Parts: sequence; structure tokens; C-alpha cells
Amino acid sequence: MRVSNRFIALLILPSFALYLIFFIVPTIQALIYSLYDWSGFGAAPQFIGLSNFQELLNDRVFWRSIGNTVGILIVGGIVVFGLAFVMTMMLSSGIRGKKFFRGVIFLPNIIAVIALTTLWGYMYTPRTGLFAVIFDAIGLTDLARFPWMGPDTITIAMMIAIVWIEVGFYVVLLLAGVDKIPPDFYECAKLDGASDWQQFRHITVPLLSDVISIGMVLWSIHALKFFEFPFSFTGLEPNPSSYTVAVYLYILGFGQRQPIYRLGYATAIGVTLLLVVILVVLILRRLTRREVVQY
Amino acid sequence: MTQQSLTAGRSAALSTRTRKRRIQLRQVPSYLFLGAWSAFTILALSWVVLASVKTNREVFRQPFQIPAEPQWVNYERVWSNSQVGQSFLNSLLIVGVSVVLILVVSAPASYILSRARFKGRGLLTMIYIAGIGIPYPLLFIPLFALLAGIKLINTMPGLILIYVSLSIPFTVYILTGFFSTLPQELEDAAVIDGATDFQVFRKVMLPLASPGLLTASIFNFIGLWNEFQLALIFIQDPDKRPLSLSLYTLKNSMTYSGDWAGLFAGVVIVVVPTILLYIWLSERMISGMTLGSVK
Amino acid sequence: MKKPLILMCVSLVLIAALGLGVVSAQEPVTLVFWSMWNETEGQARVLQTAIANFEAANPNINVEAVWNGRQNQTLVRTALSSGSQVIDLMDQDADQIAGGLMREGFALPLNDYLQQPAFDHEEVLAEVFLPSTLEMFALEGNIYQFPYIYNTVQFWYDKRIFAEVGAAVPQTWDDLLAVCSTLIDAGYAPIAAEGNEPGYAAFYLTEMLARLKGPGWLRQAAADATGEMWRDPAVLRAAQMTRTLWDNGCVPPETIGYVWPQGQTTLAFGTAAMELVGSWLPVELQTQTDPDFQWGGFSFPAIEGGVGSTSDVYALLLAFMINKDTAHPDEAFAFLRYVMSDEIQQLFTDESLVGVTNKYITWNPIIADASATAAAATSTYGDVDNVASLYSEYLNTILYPNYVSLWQGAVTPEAYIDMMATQTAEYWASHS
Repeated sequence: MRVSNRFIALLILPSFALYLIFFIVPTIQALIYSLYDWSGFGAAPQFIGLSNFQELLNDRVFWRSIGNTVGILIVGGIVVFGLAFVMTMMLSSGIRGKKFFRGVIFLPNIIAVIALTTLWGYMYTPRTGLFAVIFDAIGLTDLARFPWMGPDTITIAMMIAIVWIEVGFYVVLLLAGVDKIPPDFYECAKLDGASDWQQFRHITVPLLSDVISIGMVLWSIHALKFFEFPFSFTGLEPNPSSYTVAVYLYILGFGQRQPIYRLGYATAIGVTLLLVVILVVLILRRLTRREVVQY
Repeated sequence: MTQQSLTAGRSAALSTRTRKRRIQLRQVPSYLFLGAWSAFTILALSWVVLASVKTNREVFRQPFQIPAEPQWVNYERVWSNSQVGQSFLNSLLIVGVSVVLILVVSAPASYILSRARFKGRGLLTMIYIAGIGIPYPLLFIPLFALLAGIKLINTMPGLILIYVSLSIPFTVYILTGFFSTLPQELEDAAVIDGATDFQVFRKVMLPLASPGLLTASIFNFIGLWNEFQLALIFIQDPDKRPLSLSLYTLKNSMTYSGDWAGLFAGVVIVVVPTILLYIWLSERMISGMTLGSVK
Repeated sequence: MKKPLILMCVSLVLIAALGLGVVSAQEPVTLVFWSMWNETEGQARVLQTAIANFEAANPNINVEAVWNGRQNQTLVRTALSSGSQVIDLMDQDADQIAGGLMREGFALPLNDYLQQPAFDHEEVLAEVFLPSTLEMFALEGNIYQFPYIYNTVQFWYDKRIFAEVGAAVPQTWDDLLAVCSTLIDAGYAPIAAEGNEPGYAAFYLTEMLARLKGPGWLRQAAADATGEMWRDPAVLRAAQMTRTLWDNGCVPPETIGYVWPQGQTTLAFGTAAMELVGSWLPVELQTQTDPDFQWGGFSFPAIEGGVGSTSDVYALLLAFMINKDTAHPDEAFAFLRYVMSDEIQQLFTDESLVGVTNKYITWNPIIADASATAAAATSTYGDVDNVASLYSEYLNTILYPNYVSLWQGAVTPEAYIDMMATQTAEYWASHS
């Protein structure tokens, strides 16, 4: 369609101005701030080159937070997508109550995260929590006393809760894709004697590749900025052993109760996070780059 | 469009057929798994409701029993001592205005990016979409400095501005997908009838894209309704807190005074309206969500 | 509810001032106070009473309180540095103010004001404070903080359980271990604790090193750029003592899974007997304990061969700070002076069960032992032997995480020593 340049500018301008001022410029500023030592909004920043990044290399808390974040991204991602696939297959196998199940599985997505962390914190309580009582009831007393939120398992405990919350979103996404695959494809395959697995492997997955790659990009970006859950999951203050990068950045930049204000350093953490995002998106694009199947 | 409705019709036909089917043996695992998953979710959420009408002693000592006497007073205490009501209104205002503004600025841009022919369109689209990958934590500090500079820290307009700006990339991504599927013929016809560029957009294309606009508003609504980290940084004044932040404050205040039953009552107050809204709208929400994300 | 009345007063004063054509001292003043309390907490209710009384006595002053909760300082700092808000006074943990707003120069020195007469005593105001509370975070002779609540860190215990098993209050570390085994034999969990709350776990490290090396040693070790002080045998001993508590079952093994406040509720349940924590514990548990629960407190016991004494007290004060840029310093201080009155200080201890800094006030019986500890103090130190106020980033990135690893048994005492020595040296190499 041909339209005048004035018209193009008119329609683009409002969003582009906002986007430029509140998104692009701050991003560039962040890249600059990360080269400064800056101890607070009132203080004058001092240029220190790449020292912040050098310090990051030796910062154990930072590496741990990277570990947790990447753990959520990869392990969480595999579990979320695996489960979402299984559930999608189950839901699209012609069972009754499909809409009900789908609605309930998606439900946690609309609940405030703080409410969910409160709930999960209590479910994990040894002796009196929901899990403890269930395990007690079925005679697994050892499991009933298991310290879910102890140091070895807190990340896993957090991951389980996160999977429970997130999986619904991807089920809905995949299910929508499956629903749009013409049923004839399956009927033909069935006539040819294809098993369920073969149908899944040769019809569903290829036809969903678009949806899957969108889903994976969304998950990656979401997982890499994970904040709310670890921030409010553990007791009085977020716990260093379950920091994600976003939480650590917040603690260093804004402090919680402890007065730490290292704006330049915190921004350097943000820049590192951006690099990780770029890396992950590049990897994903390589992995998912194949012919898009049209139907 | 035509193909879409065709497949929709076919899958509807298929699902009426499946509905008549008896439960098959091979579906039993699906029922068990989905049933257990849903039961867990419902049980966990009902447990919160149960805990909210107990005394504090009962919450810990008889976590699963029905309370001797329902403690409705917990609700009174939370309601009168916290600003949950106020922040509910704040959330409605902040999220409502944000969602409308997001559409107002993003829809025209998306229209141009997907349908107008001009130099640099590809690059411009890429710049817009790239924002999806920028992790919010990177922007905490520059945005704070920026907002402080224009005296919008700790104000609802400030938070709305941030919400709108940061939602542009994803919204544009969804909407360009939508606009690009619309048929060329209608546009041409309108031009032949003498419509101006703006009329073509406003009177012809925008109404056609309304399912896409609905999708985009649902995505943004869900995302912003529970948004926490930006609100945490940009709002300090208790009178201006949105619901997610207010719940966080409530959690802190109730745990410091050991009032767990009160906390659960607060969680119920915050979560129940959202769940009711969800039950009412879930069908439309989920189908709207998937319309746009899966082309 | 009271707003219309105040408005009336204010407008009357305004009319009077306009009519007379004089701008007098009676000009209406609004003090903005950002508080660390949440509206629902007892302390906030006492402050609300204080504000109401103060406003009634000073009709030209209106105190506008904002109840921010524990992130108060962060919020105040953010608001002040962005220039988006007028804030005249705030309150927070004294340690955190000392390391934060005060060190950054946001605080008004109070020395002259403290020479005003006390609200309801014949002496100057400074004399009303319990010894070594005002001076705790003084900087070069300047007092920037106005402490009004006094918490002690010590063991809090269930007197009924101790009586039932015939245990006496332990005086030495060995006594403590003996009490532990008595309690275990009687089927109790001796010590309640949280699995991963760094601040709570580090009470042990702080107290052990204070008893072994005396107060002030830990803060030197934290600042030791070579990290070698961490190789002192006392640190190894403290680390081993930490593990002993777990290995003996003094701290029951499932504790590792407790996330605050799950550990402390075991004390309220009557399954655990004591906890090393601040004197705020009885308040936090008051809705969960039985009505006839009897609280007792004792100081962290002496350690054989150590130079510290049980009268060295781990004190966590809560304090006000006046913004140095306030337009109304006199009015702001007048309010603080009233908060320090016997009436309000008594109300704090009666209603919200906390210790207070006014020396004339008898603390609530529920924390009588904390009162005795505070009164008998020969020296006081702040959070983590003041490491919290002096080097808070070091505390959060080195001291806390490593001690939690030791606390949870993820590293051995020997490995802990190595980690601390090398990481402290590394830290100061990059933070010089």
C-alpha cells in the first residue's frame, strides 16, 4: 500500500517517541552507566572503564544468581515445555471437560505472585505443610519431614512452583496451535496405520514449529528476568542462595533493608543480562531455524 | 480469514463428534493426570480460603481441620487496617488507562509497519521488536533517573507512562502479525471509493483487526494486573500502590505481627475478584489470547 | 476523623494571622514522617496516639505519617534523592540508618536539641536516654539519631519447659550444651532456628566472636584487607561450635527446611525450648502462644578462655532521623521530644511489648529479662558487631552467604575459614 510520508510519520510517531524516550534511550544510558562507579542518585558518577565487569567475574553471588537464572531457563524450560506438550496431547485427545481442565491449568497465571509465594511457602513447611500432611496420610513419614526449602532443594522447590504457575500459559499456546491443525491430517495418518507417537512426531510437532519457537523465545525472555517469585519466596528478605540476576541487581541498586547502593555495578549486571538474552535468542534461532511448514 | 473459519468449523464438527464418544480406555491416564493436577490446584487455593477464617493458633496447629468457629473478624481487620480497597481502585485505574493507551499508540504504528510500503520499514520493525528482548532490570536505574528528572517518580501517571512504553514492542509484535493477515482487497476498494489514508485505517482496517486488539489488550491486562517489580521501584507512597504491591506490603506487615490468618484473609480479598473475573471471562480470554499469538 | 477539626484550627489560625497581618510562629506546619512500621503493627498504633496527642497540644502542627514498612529507608532515600517528596523525619533500624542515610549526609545533627529540657523530667533530654544508646552511632561527636526502641539479642526461652526438665539458665557454653542434652532426653527440640535467614544465623557468629575475642573484633576482621584475621583460632573455634549445635541435635536437623517464621513457630507450639533472637520475638508470637506461656531471656553464655563478658550486649536500636533539609527542624524535634516522654515510652512497652530507651520506664514484664540485660550492659554493639552499619555490602555478599553455608553444613569449619580469609582479601582488593 502506498501512503504519504506524512501519514506514516503521524501514525508511527506517538509510539516511537515513547519507545525511544523510555526504552531505547534508557538502554543506551544503561550501557554507559555500567562503565561508572555511582554510589547513589544524589552522587556524581565516576568513570572507571570496565572495572565493574572485572569485579563481576569474581563476584560469587553474581555467578550463583546467573546459575539460578540459567537453571530456571533451561531446566525449567524443559520441564515446562515437556509438561505442556503432554497436557496438550491429553487435552486434544477428545476427552471431556477439556475447557475446564484448560481453565484450571491456566488459573495460576492470573493470580498475584505474592499470593502464590505465600501459598507455596506454607505448602512446603515440614510437619504442618500441605505436602507433609499428604505424605503423612499415605505413610511416607520420611518425606513428610523432608526439608523442601533447605539449601540443597530450595531451587528445586522454587522450580516446581514456577512450573505449576507457568505451564498453563504454554498449554494454552500449544493447544491453540493443535486445534488449528486440520483434523483430516490425523484421519489420513490413522488410515495409513500411524501410531499416536508417529502422528505426534510427524504431524503435530512439524506443524507446531512456529508456535513452539515463539513459545521458546517468550519463555527465555520471561525466565531471564525472573524476579517476583524468588524476591518474595524466602522469609524476611530474599535469600542470596535463591537470588536470580534480576533480584541481585535490585538489591545492589536499590537496597532492601541493607543500605547498599551501587548503581553503576548494578547496571553492569543488567548489561550482562542483556548479553545473555542476545546469546540465548541467537542459539534459539539456530535451533529452530528450519523450513516453516505451511498448511 | 476464510481458511481460518473453515478449519474452525471443522474442528467444531470434530469436537461435537468427540463429545458423544464414551470415555475410552486409553484416555484413562489423561483423566487421572489432568484430574490430579486440577484437584491439586483447587485444593491448594481452597486451603488458603480455609486458613483465612481460622484463628492464628489454628492455622499452625490444625492446618487442615475446619475451624471451630469461622473467624470473619480476620477480614474486618485486614480491610480496615490496610488499603486493599484503595489499591484495587488504583490497579483498575493504572491498568485500565495503560491498556487503552498501549492500543492507541501501538495500533497505528503496527498498521503502518505491516501494510505501508516505505524505505527502512524492515529496519524500523526490527527496532520495535528488539525491545521484547531487553530485560526490564537493565532499565531500572536509567528509568528511575529519567522519571526523577521529570518529577514523575512516585506518581500514577509516571507508572502508566512506563507501562505503556515498555509494552509497545510486544503489542506491536502481536498487532503487526494481525494486520498483515488482513486481505488487500478491502483496502483497495476503500481507496477507490475515495477514502483518505486515515479513513482507510480508522474505518476499514481497524475494525477488521479488532480480534487482534482484543488479544493485545488481554495480554497486556494480565501482565500489568500482576506487575510487581516496576511498581516496587517507581511507587513509594502507600496511597498510590497497585494491588500487587499492596499485597506485598500486607504480607510484610502481617508476618511481622504474626497475623497469618489475617494475611490469608488479605490474599483471599485480593485474589477472589480476579478469579471471579477469570471464571466469567476465561473462555473469551483464552480464545482471544490464542487468536493473535498463533497465526 | 480528626481532619475537620485540624482543618478548622488551621483555618482559624490562618484567618487570625491574616487579620492581624502578622506571620507569627503560629503559622501552620506540616511534618511529613515516613515510618518503618506497617499500619497494623502495635508500634504504629502507639505512634498514631503520640501524633494525635502532639497535634492536639500543638494545633499549628500537623504530622502526616506514611506507613512504609521495613523498606522505609530505601523508599525515603529514593524519594529524597529524586527530589520528588518532602520528608521531614523518618525512622528505621539504627544500624541501617548509620550505614545509609546518615553516612550519606542526609541527617540533621541533634546535639544542641538534645540539650533542651526533657519533656517531663528536670534534666536535659540527653540524660533521659539509657546509657550508650544515643552515642552508639555518633560520628565525630555528632549525634544524628534519636533512638526510641531498644531490642536486645539474647536467648528467649519457654520457662515452663525449662522448669519441667529442671534446667537452669546456662552461664557457660558447656552449660548450654548440657541443657541441650537434657532437653533432647525429655523429647524437646532444644533450639528453634530458621534454616536460611542470614541475619538470624549470624547472631551466633556475632555472639561467639564477641564472647571469645570481645566486641569490636569481628568488625576489625571484616575490614582486614589481608583477610588473615579470619585465620585466627577463635574463628575456627566459633565455626566448630556452630556445627556442634547441629551435630548434637541442639538445633534439630529438620531446621534446615524452615523458612522464617516456620522455625520460631516451633517455640510457640511448645516443641522447641529456646531461640537466639531479638526481644521482638514475644510480640511476633503473641497470637500463637498459649495464654499462659512464660517468656524468659538469658544472655549468650560465656565461653571458656574468651575475653568477652555476658554483660556485653548485642543491642538493636530503632531510631528517628531528621532530614537535614527540613524546613521545620524545631517542630520535628518537638515531636521527637514528646515521643521520648514517659507517657509515650510507657505506651510503647505496654502496648507493643518492646523495650524502650527512656531510663525511667520499666519494660513490659513479658520482656523483663531483656530489661535486666540492657540495664546491666557494660558495653553495647550493633548488628553483626557493627559490620551491618560499616560494611553492609561486605556483609551481604561475603559474610552472610558464607556463614549460611557453614550454618547449613554445606562447608566444613576449615573450609569456611579459608573462604572467609581469601574472599575478604579479594573483596577489599576490589573495593579499596
